[in-house]
Amino acid sequence: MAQVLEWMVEGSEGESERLATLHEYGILDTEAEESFDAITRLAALICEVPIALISLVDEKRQWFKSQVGLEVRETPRDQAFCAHTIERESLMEVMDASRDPRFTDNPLVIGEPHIRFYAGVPLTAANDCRLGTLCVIDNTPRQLDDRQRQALEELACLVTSLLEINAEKRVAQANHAMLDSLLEALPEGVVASNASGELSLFNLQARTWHASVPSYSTPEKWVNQFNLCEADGETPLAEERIPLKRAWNGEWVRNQEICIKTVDQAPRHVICNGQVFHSPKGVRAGAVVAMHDITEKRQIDRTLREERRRLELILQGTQAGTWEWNVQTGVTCLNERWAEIVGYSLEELDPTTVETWISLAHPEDIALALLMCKRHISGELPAYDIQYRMKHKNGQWVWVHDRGRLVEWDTKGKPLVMAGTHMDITARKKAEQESAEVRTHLQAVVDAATEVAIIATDLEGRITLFNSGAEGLLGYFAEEVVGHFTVLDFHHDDEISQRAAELSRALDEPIEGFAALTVNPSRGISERRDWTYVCHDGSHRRIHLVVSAIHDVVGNITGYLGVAIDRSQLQSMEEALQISESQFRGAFETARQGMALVSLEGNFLEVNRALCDMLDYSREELLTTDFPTLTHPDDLAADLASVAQLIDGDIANYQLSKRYITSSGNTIWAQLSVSLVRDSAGEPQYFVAQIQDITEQRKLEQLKREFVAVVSHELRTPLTSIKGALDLINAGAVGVAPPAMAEMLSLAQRNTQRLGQLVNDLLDWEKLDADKMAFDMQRHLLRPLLEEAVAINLGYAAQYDVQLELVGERQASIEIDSLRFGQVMSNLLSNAIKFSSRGGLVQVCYRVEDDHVWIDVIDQGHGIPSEFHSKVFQHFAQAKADDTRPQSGTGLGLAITKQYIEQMSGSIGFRSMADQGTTFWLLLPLASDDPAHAAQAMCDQGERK
Amino acid sequence: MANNIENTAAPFAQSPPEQDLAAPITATFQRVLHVEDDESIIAITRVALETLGGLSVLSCSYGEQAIEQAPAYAPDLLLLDVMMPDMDGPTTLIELSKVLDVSRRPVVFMTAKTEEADHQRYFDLNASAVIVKPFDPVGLAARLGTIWEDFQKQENNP
Repeated sequence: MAQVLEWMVEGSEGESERLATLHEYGILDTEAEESFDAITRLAALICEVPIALISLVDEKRQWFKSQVGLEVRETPRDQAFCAHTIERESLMEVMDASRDPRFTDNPLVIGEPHIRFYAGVPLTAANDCRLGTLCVIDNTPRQLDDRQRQALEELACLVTSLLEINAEKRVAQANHAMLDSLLEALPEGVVASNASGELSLFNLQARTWHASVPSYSTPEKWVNQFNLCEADGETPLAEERIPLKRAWNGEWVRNQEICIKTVDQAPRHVICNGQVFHSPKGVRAGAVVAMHDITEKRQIDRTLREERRRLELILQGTQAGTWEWNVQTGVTCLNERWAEIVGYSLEELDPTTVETWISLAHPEDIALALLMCKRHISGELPAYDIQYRMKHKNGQWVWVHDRGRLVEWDTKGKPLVMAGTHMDITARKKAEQESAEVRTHLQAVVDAATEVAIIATDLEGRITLFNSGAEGLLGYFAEEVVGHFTVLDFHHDDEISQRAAELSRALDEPIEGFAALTVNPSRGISERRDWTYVCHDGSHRRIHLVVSAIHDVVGNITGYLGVAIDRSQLQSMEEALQISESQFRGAFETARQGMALVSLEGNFLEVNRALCDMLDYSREELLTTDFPTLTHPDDLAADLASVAQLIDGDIANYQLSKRYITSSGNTIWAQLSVSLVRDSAGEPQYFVAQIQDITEQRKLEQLKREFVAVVSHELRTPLTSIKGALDLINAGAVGVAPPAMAEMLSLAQRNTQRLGQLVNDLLDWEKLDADKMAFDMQRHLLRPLLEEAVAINLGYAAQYDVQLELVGERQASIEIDSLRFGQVMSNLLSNAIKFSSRGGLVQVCYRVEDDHVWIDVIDQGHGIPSEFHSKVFQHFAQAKADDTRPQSGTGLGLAITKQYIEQMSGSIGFRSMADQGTTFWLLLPLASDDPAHAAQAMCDQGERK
Repeated sequence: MANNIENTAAPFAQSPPEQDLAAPITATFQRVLHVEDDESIIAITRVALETLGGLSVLSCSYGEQAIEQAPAYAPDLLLLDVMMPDMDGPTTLIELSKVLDVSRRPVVFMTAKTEEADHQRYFDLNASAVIVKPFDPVGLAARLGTIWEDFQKQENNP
């Protein structure tokens, strides 16, 4: 006993598991059950005892699930024989408890029911926990036989099985109840059919939705029992389309939308999911379908669609474009109208990013637009609202008005999406601009009209506006008169009365006072006549006054406007205009050269007599034609090109030698000079052309050139003979001449050489002038060219006792015509030699600078007189000969030299100071592939050898 | 240009005129047919070639004369002025080619024209050289000698 108590207090793992199992079985304190009672009765009968019990031992007691021969349902655990039984694995038998030390003092032995005999078999659960016993008791000592013991053990097994079945049943019942309540509580509708396809389950939600509880009805009846439709809410659902039927047929029903219509309920849209289910043996046991109500979602969707459509309609109505800009990714979403405003379709702009917008916005506006965005995003501005320009596909600028705001932030609270509208406000801007312009113009007119008096009045004649012209005319200040005077204060009473009387007669109604000025204007007839104004100083002035009515927007007259001009001033202005007009006309008409005003389209607007004579057309004929028609076809392109440049503002005027075709078909040459007249806003208005007939001049030039060619050519033949003869004589071919004669012959020979050079120069000049000289440009090394030039002139230098020196080291190559370059160098060298003093030095120095080469020809002569500097390169020019030594030369040399150098893309010049010699310099570009470029680059890098 | 008369000029030697069209070509440079309308130039050329150069010169004042006399003369070289009245130098050459095998003799034009386009026209007529007036009479014989030698080299090594 003490052992048991101790064990009870301490407990153990085994005991707590046993107790847990006992409680799981859920058998304690349950009603008596016949199946258990039958076993106890059988046990008592077999063992021939009065008492049999099924005892279950919990923490503090033993409780009897079934008892025979005993009234009490439980006894304390410390008195229980069974507490001992469950300590062992098999049957415990006590033959006489009164003699057993474990039970001698047990109240159940000492008192009722006076236990003497006890035999119990433990009830062992599947997990080996012994939950209690099946026991038999007698009040007389005795002993079971083997057959009885065996029966008792079999019965105990039976009890255990019963307990287990009972427990499982209880769990199943609980689960079922839970499932039932779950199904009932589900917001989804759940329906199921059984193995034969009949409706077997209809949960609360389903019942509610269908408003009926049809049980075990078959699918063919469902079509009539329920009002089911397809998702469109109208087409009746065919039997084969009913989700439960489909599921039962083995289909995998997923998200099938149907509409359930039930009396007193709004049509209900549900999404159905379902499938067949099978018994453990794989036989179809039924089907289940769950329905989810999406009516509300449908409703929201529809509302959203509706709203969206309405919004689109509104946007369409307002002609607004829309945009969404993801400020983090730059991706933008634009609508068709947005693209349309700038002349594109959305496909053309795809993919649209913020760059699309930036590229289309006006460069001057984009910075401000981005700043506004930034200020809105930073929270500085409540909204992004800006008007700016964008480039339309057709190249024009359109004004747009953007409004938008941030509409989305990311999870970190950073700005994510901006959205807004995009309106084309070009028309409005234009109107605004126009009205602003008109206002500005009007204000400017009113302000600037110091020569014109502008006076506005209300309906009674009280002055409301008095401009500076009026101040000047009448001698009053605006502040004095506005609101204080009426216009009648300026008029001569007699004139007003007289005019009023006239009007009264004419209109057959009484007119007087202010009405004399306004009756006509108020009827839409302008009132223009001369009046006399009485000025502040009492003097009188004749004025010409125009009165008109001022209307408001709806056409009501709100006042009158008078514009007055001083008569005397007007007359003098008109005269001045007439004079200047006639002066211009006179100058234009009497000009000796042709003059014309030509429209931008090329039509003659005005022509003078000289032009008519030149082209042999009448004035009327010219005014109906245009200049391209009269221009020689070969010259038209050049003319039109210049015209285009003029209109574009690239040039201010142009001159052109061109041919015109006269009425008789003759070609005449003319020197044309054209300028463009623009208005104050800079818009081209018309051309002024001066046309000079240069046909004769050109003929003369041509003749001159031909003459030069012929003459120089014809000179060669006799020259050949003279020079030949002299050369032969001096060579001794015809005998030896006496010394005096030989000297004369030598003189003659030298002069013949000069004559030959002169003829050659003349021929070269003619060729250059007629642009007939071809240049054979080739790449040449510079130094050999210079060496050759020096060598050729060594003999000539020797004649003058002059030294030649070539200075310069670097390799360089130039692109020139070597023959012409040789002529240039010879020309410069012979000049330098000629002008040097005896024993002098002429240097040829060259150096490379950047991509050019400088060549200096330096002499130590007397220098070029400063008064001659400007004429050095003119043809037929030569400085006055030095007194001490005769100079030879044609006077064409330097002119030709300059032409040659310029034709070879070079330039030429000189420096000269009296008595310090002269330096002629040439500047020629290096050949494009010149190695000196590379050499120079190496020097620059400090790799000089 | 080298001015070495001794090396290039052949000694003066008058050979008998040939009558047939294909007059034999001599192995030495001796006879020059000169067609020139200007008497002064003729005179100068004669002195230059005969006196200084030791050559033989047949001077003709106009084209027809040259056509008439050339076959008999059998010149080693033709020196033709370009601009002449009635028949100019190029025409004279074309006419000469009918009576003389001009392809086997160097032809030299003499002209006051300095334009290369004109010169090219003469070269197109198979001229060997063009001498521009005023020319150097002292070096003329030597120059013609060089032209003749160059022509012979080309003939032998076409």
